[in-house]
Amino acid sequence: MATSLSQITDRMDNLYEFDREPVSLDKLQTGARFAGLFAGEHVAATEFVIGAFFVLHGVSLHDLLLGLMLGNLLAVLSWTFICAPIATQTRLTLYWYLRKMAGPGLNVIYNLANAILYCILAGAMIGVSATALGLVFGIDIPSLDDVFPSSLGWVCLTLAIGILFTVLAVLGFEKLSRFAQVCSPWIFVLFIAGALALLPRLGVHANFDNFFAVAKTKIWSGVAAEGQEKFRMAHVLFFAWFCNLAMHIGLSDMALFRYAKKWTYGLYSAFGMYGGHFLAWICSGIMVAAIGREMHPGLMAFEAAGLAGAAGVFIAGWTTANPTLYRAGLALQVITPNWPRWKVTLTAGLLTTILSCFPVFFVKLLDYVAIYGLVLMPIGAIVLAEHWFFPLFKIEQFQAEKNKKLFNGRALIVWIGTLAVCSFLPLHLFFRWLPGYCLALIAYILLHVIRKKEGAKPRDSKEVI
Amino acid sequence: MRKIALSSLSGISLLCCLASPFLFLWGQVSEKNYKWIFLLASFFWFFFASLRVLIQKRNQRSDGNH
Repeated sequence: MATSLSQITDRMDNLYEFDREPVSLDKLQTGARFAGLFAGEHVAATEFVIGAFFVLHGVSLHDLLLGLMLGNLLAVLSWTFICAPIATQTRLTLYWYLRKMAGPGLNVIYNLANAILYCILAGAMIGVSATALGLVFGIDIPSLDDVFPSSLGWVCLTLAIGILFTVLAVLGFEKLSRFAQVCSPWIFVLFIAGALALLPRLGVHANFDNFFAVAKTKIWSGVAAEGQEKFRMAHVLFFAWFCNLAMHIGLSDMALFRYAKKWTYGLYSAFGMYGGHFLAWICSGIMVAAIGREMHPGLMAFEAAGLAGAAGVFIAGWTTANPTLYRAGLALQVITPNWPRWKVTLTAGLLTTILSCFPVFFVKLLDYVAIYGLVLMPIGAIVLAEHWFFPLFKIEQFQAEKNKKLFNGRALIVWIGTLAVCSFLPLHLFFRWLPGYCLALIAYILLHVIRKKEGAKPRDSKEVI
Repeated sequence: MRKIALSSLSGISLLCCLASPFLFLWGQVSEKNYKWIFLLASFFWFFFASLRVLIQKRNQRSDGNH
């Protein structure tokens, strides 16, 4: 067992070998590049769903604006004060930095968890694309309560799209990435144009003089759709904050910020947050209200911008599922000995395709995003504790690496323990990650302080002897 | 030079995409025409922006060969 695990970790190390060394100073990128990256990455297919869900959950205009402003600000500050400083000091990816602390064994578990979560996310994106193509074939999309596929048509459609996306990802991931760069500014414009074009249907005048009155009564009216839980400002604030929890607090964007000249480059994340997670969510909210509060991204965009709109939803799903499939494939490569890249992407794609048949991941996207962040959050707390707090408490850093340990048992206990506690916390799912994060941080430090004291005792007695 | 021209043309296409809903909102064009303008401008955006990226990539490759 130990041998096979060490074989897996060796394979994984080879896989990530290219970014083993800290980034050299000549490879650092400009701030404009970070602004562009964030602006492009955070205008995705899921934005069509998230903004619309706020309307269905009965968020009022005041709660929406305040929640999004503050939540996105907290997300930007999390990138700036938590993720970017560690990345610019170490110039390493989370993979290599975590390996020093938690050992290669825990890295394997982290990668597998990430792979599964990525596959589900890509599956949700396929679901969004399917709503656009479903219009063409007259296939009904699942209702908001559906967990299992509701019709054979939906299964066939998601399978067909999933296989198509997978084959295209296998044939040319890089070409598709370049295509995604071309798409992202247009998708952002599609959001704005779509919302503007549907405003007259809601009764907004051409000079916008009654916009706020219409927004308060017909869009973000504060009344939840039937069967939907009522959301308030705190829900919106926390959602906007934890929407990319795995990236900022969970530190997976260290891979990005290790190329930043200074830690203040974290502030460039504002281009993604206030462009995508503010404007695009508001626009999709307007669109869903204009089509009678039906969660149907394809129909929303078709009504808003015709054929180009429906194509936009399909393309947005495709271009955002593509890198997600790639990342899932990369993470899955740890358990697929000597498989070529195409085979691993194909496996990840097929798993994603099967998952995409289940509408639960698409109709419960907000909950899934919360769980996704929650699962990976304790790892961020472990790295933060070891990076900043261990030197303060004079605890030895990187013990797993120094003692050549396969597993850091304390890190595993903290990870599993935090998730166990979070699952029982008497709080709404959206709010559980914050106490969980504090708990993980304190528990990891405490476990090491106790270990340090226990370890110091025999040494002291030896000295006395 | 070609890169500047393509950047300008793709930028203009995107601006047309953005301007079309305003024209509809202000009653200058019908909803049907707005959707056609948006579709056409989108087509031009994809054409010019893709060409720009292709040329950029080709230039990078030839720089690498030198």
